[in-house]
Amino acid sequence: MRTRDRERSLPAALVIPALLAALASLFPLLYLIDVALDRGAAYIWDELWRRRTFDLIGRSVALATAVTIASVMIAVPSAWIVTRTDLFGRRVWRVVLALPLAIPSYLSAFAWISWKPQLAGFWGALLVLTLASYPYVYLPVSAAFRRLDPALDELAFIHGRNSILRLIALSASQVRSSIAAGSLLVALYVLSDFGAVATMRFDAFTWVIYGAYRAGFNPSRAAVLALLLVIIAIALVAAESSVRGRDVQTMTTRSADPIPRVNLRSGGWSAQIFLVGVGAISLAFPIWRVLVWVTGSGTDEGFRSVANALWGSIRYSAVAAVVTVLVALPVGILAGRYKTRSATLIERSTYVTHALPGVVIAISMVFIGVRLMTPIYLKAPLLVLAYVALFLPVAVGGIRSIVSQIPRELDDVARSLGSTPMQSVRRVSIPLIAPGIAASFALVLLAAMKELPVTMLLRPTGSDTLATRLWNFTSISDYAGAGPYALALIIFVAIPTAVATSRS
Amino acid sequence: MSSNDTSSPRAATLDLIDVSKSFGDVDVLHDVSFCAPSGRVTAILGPSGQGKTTLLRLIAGFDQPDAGRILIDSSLVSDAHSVVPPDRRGIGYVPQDGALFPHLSVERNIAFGISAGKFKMGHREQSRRIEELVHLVGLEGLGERRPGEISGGQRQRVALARALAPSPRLVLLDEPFSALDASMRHDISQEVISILRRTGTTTIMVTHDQQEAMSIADHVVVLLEGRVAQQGSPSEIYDSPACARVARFIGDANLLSALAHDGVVEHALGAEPWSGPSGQATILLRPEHMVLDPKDGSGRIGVVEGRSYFGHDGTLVVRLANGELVTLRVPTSQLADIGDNVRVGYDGTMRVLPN
Repeated sequence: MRTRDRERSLPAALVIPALLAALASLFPLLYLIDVALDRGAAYIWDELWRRRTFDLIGRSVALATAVTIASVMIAVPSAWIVTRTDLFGRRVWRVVLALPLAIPSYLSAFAWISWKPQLAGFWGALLVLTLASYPYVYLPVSAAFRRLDPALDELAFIHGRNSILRLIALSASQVRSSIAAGSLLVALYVLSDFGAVATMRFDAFTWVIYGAYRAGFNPSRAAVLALLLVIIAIALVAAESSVRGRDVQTMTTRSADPIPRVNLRSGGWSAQIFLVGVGAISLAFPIWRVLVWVTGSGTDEGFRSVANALWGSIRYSAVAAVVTVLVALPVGILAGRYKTRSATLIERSTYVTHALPGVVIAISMVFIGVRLMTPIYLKAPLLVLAYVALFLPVAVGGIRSIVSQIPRELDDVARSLGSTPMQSVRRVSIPLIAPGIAASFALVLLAAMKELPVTMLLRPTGSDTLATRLWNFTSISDYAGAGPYALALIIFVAIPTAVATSRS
Repeated sequence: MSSNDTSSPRAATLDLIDVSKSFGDVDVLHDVSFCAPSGRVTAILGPSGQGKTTLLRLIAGFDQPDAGRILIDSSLVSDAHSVVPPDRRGIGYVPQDGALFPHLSVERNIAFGISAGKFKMGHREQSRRIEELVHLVGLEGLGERRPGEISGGQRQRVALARALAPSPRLVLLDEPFSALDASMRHDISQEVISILRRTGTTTIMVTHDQQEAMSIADHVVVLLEGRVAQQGSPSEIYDSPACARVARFIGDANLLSALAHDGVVEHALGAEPWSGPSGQATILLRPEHMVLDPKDGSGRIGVVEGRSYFGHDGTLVVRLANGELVTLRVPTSQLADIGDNVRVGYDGTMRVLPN
């Protein structure tokens, strides 16, 4: 099969736009290197070899490690309970446990800090980031548990290893690489996240980079630290893709059989309490806080300004989503359809931004705006470009996966039935990938609507979005003012995101 | 199914002349030549991964040969320099799993080739044609179903009806029945082939199943390692294989070493007159031509080492004095026990293969 793909030459109509997309997504990174070199190569070394840089790395790594461990402690037992036991209500729990992904980290950070201001710093960041990112472990581990041979649990029972914790440990040892892959995603998320550490005022990479840019406007220092963060992030992404999917070989072929579930008996209560606890602090608490702000003391924020901010979010995000999907189409089709080395290379290069934290994209786009594209700096086109750079991997991934699910034979059959290549695209390919395009559009739209650092730094002068308004109010601890924006974010972004992701 | 005719305008003859194709460093097809007679079923038979599907894709026009020519009705459609694109060939193609369009109903699948593109028909003609084909393949009442809502055998028939709708000159089937359950495979293959015979369409079928090829095809092309090892009618290929590999691939075969000299060929079970060249040779004896304890007292002694009981008959595996193993197909009454000494002969039907 593979040999047949080799000789198919890639169509220029796809390659040229895909190549442009790849180059464009590498550009911010290249430009960042250029800015870092502003003060000469010696400065880079100087900046890296400082006490404060080592402290920064130490703090960020400590936070990432702590969040990863805490996430695994929450995610693995949760995944095991919903996939391997007869727990009452496990189908509902299976969905509910993934929902925290839909809540922007800065929103839950505000919720916690408004309730207990003492949480600011490491512990608050640990709490919020754990609750926001444990689904990155929970989802792959659930999938791995579902494929795990049920004979394992039966065997464990026969050998009398029937304490719940020992059973979980036994199952977990079988899905080690899924746990490892999920953990690396959590670490990546922690290092990339801006909202939670900014709200908690914890000096992790993203917050320090933002500060270097904001306070002294020291572009070289910001660029050097951003590049350092990028290197760490790329290492994490590389490590993740090398461990991902390794468990699969050890899995059973009996997946069609219903899994015999472990009867929790009296353990059902403790499992239920555990899951209720996770749901309460990750989902119910932030929503309850938002409702408290809204229903509490009055605010001057009228319906009009909330509607304005919502319109701002939707407007820029929708344009960005359209452009992102259009740019992603040639790349996704190439990568999904033609598995040649050059197609893979093009796809991979658009993935570089997948490793780039939002704050890094934000400041490199600021540099580009200030130095190269002054006419569109702090105007809508640059914001849209930054969103495209940030979310291109999301759209490419979605389109590639749906394209690769379409058998190539369908095109062959259409051709043999008298359709020209273009007729075949119109009559077969487009109807089949349309749902995937719509889903990618929705995901990019919602992701852009809740995005914070890029929006904050690049939003057009005088315009507002839900995320920036919320940020402005919470940075002065005006929670009553923040309330309507937070509620709007939950209704118009978090809930649709939850619906969109639980469907796909 | 009806007996009414849905005939093709005219069935085509297909000729391949010295067709070669390689992917990178891998030679997939090497100097393949054969002729598929008009209105007949030709099977391209060979083990998996030896270029059968590639050959079909070259005929359909999806890929281009590196060398050689492909002609349909004596007009050139492919060579190393030019290719008539698949949409202008008028060749029906039924891929391995049917490959129905998942977003279209059974009826819209069948109508695909005649509702747009080169073979587009008028509205009235279209619905008449669809009705005719639904009837031909026996899918009445399933027209509104989606491909996911019908059985594997039904999908295969929809794929066939879809390929036949534009009245192709030639139909290509790629392992059309391999995805089906063994239990329904035989019936559906007979049914599909009888539809194709009724329409008089020239059919090329790729298969790795020698029983399927032998029972269905008029003409068999044996493809081994990208070369045509032999072609001919099923009985020619079974009775007179061109070489030991073909003999072994088509049916069960006892291949014994032999020595040809002075007008005879000598082997472990006797000697036969021989007019060919002298030297080392191989003889082919089919198990059903082997005889246990021949009445005329001929044959040689051996020891039974294996025994299989099939109900209607059985087989014995016997080790001869020179160490060679032979398989005999015998009536169940003759199934000796393991360890027995038996005399093994043959009924005179044998074939000397070139070494």
